[in-house]
Amino acid sequence: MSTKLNIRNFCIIAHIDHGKSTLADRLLETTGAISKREMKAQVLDNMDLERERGITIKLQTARMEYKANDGQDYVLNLIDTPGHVDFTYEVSRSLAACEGALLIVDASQGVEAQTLANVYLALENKLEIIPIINKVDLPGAEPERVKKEIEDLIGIDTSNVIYISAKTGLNIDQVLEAVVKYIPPPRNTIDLPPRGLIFDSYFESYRGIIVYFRMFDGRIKVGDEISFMANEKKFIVSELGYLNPGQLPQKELKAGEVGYLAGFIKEVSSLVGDTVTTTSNRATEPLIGYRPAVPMVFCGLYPIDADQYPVLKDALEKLKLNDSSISYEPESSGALGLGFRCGFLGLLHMEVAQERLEREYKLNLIATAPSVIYRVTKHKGEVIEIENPAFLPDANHREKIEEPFVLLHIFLPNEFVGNVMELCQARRGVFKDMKYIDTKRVQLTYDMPLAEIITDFFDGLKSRSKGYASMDYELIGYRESKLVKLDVLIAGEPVDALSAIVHSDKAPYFGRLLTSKLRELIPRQLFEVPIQAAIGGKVVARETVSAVKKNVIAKCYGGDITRKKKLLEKQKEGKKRMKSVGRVEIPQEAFMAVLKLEGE
Amino acid sequence: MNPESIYIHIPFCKTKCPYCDFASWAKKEHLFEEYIDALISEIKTKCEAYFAMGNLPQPIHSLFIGGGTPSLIPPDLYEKLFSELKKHFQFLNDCEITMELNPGTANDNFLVGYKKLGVNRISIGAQSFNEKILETLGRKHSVDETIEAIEKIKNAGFTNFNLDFIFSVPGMTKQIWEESIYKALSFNPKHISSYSLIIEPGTPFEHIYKDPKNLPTDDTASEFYMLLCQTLNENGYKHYEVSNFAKSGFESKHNLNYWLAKEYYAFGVGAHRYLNGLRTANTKDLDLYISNPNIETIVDFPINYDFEKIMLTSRLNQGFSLKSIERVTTKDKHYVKNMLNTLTEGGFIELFEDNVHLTDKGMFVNNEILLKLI
Repeated sequence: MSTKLNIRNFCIIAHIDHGKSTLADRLLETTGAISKREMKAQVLDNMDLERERGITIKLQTARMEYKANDGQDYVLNLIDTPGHVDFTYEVSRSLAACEGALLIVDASQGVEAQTLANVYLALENKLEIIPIINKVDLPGAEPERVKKEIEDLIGIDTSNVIYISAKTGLNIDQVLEAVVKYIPPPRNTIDLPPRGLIFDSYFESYRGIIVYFRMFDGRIKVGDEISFMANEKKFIVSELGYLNPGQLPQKELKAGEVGYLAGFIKEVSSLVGDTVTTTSNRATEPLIGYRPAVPMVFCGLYPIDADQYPVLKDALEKLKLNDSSISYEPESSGALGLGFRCGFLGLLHMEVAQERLEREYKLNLIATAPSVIYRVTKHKGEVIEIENPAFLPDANHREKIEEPFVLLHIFLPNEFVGNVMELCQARRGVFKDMKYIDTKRVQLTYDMPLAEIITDFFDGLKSRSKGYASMDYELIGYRESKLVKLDVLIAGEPVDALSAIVHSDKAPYFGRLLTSKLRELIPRQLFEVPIQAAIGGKVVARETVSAVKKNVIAKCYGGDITRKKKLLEKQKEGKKRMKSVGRVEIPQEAFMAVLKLEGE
Repeated sequence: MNPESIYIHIPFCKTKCPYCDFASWAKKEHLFEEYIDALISEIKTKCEAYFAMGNLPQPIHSLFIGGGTPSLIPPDLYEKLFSELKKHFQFLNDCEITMELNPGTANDNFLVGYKKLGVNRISIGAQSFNEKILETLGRKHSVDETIEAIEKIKNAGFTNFNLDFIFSVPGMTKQIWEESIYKALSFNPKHISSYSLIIEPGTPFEHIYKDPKNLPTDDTASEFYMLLCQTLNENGYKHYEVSNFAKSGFESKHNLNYWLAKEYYAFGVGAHRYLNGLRTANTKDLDLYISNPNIETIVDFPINYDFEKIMLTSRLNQGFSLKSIERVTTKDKHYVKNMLNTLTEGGFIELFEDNVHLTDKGMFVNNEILLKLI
């Protein structure tokens, strides 16, 4: 009972591009979990989307076997973590399944806002942290400065810091030794009633839901009847095993181990964060360490072709099994028909989910501009929450509107402070604090409406800092704001899906930007299309898309009509990407026009 | 039913125009004879094989010799070609036999020779009656040479001729265009074809006019088109197809055959045919064609006949039936019905019982209308 387990469960915390995936690959390669030959660059980012965007979203887990310098054999489980501001929730799940974390910091970039946020999460989870400075082989590397930054900013001991180059493989052996040496082994509680923490799940049509979990106590075998503690449904384990990172079936998983299980699990809405146990030896308390995800950004998703509504519904159900932080509820729009109001952790999360739905389920979708949840107090004191700007009660039916505010931290080189402060000002930021991290780098702190952040703030920040600024934010609560609803009318008809809630001072200006952007995005049609922006029925901006005057193939060369046909088919394909609203065809991008406004 | 139309492609020109992306080459006079021999060989091999399979040849109602510049080739070579054709096909007495001719290549003796062979319609690539526009288009002939060509064909006894024009050319004003139209009318052609300039990929124009700002806008093109339709209509020409206008009874049978989605034979380098429900094409490589004129590739398979038919017949003033829309549309019945009303109110189409046809205005947005309905 008291024998120490030769298992280490850990994750990697890093800012995007600081080399997390490369280090993970190197660890797998060094321990022989995966051969160089099998290695596509960066095995752990296994979704196409992730590889394309160079980010990790879905969690991946890998088991490595390692003979340490002490002569003993160890099992090292690496639980991957996403590295983007939207995915704090996913990070929290991974952290809860680990005893330790590798903190990777780029030797020239230094600590970034996101790194800091995740380290705090790890410390909250009482994880042992091993600081690692990566890319020390590059010309601009300043490992000593970065080491001091880690001490000063994060306040952790850096006496055991490791300088590596994940790219060349420098000091990877030291990382493995440190994992064995510094990260505590799991408690050996194999005799307690079984408890496993679920940190990820996805759906397969043949095996049902596949659950990724960390066993904390006891053991679960193939054939055991299991249940999830937040949910009384029972299932028989048909298969379980290790993740290396493929699935490697075993007979049982014991306390301390990490793996997957399947049991034709269906019709369970959300498993992640839940505790799995057996019915024959049921645990009494669920595991702790779970923070539920709260969607903060909402948008409408509508099929372009109304017939695809059931497909979208099915796709959202399956996507939620894979990504429990998504929420969705049916809604209907006068302009777009039946669809869903979906909640996401952030803008990137929303884009990724939309792309996955389109790719994996062959859907053609319209996404409306992202919105936050507004809190509206009506005259009789009744408070309602509005996720869709179209449903904002008229000005004479409401007492006040409150919107979510965040505490925003921005890390940036000092030469961009002026630029970035200007941006924050324009986005209704309330300045809180500015402090120097070292002689060159500054931390800015603002209170800012979340709505401003989700409308393309990050891109603005990047462009005003030549890509050097990083940011992180946390929700701090609701505040009253002077907000109004801006309606958009196309060909005289209000298009509810284009409504936006904006600050009253900026509303007319915003209306002009929006109508002018829509004029660019809506292609010319057979008829002239007037576009208007209105506040409370009063038109504040107007633009017109002139009518198309020519769309014909003049000539058929020597009987070659195929060319003409191909052009027509291509144009027909293009129209499929557009939604007919009345007699106007509106392209997908137009519904996101709000995000592409220039000016400010 | 077997085809009633034949297309023959002659790929030679004196110079290559910078907007042209069709199979044609300059300075290949030394290949004239070999090319005609290759054509004869293609006709012989394919017709023998085709008719041996039991296909019964239909009498031919139109033969079109297009190019390139077919008028560069001397009549004696055509004589060989025609005698091969006559071995396989029976030509109707009133068969329309068209030859394309470019100004500056008209040769009195050649014209007499063509006439003797049975050519009864000449299509002249006039393109413009304005020197500056001809220069912009890279045409190597003058306005005077066009006028001279018209006189020559009339002298040779041709009464049925077409003039080809290009509008919406950089530098073209409404006045220049109007003058060209009236000048054309003064020669009393039986037929006028007119296309707006298209910048084709792979042509010198693609590079010269990379920036669309240097080209007339679609709105300007549309004004030119409407001016053309109106002027020709007032002068007794029927607008029977998007780009074609004719005195009554002189609509090109060969063109109509294409637009009615009927089948046709075709011979020559780069030629496209429609035969036995298949659209196939010959190689575009001149040397390859001469060395083996029998290779064909399928260009589109399978053919969605109903789709093609509506796409092609919508170009004709005779229009298409409401039923033909129902056969191909992916849209809701109710939507189509409303759209037909909207399009009628907008002046794009006219409805007569169950027949739809495009107005002049509608024809220039032909694709846009089809996209609304199918």
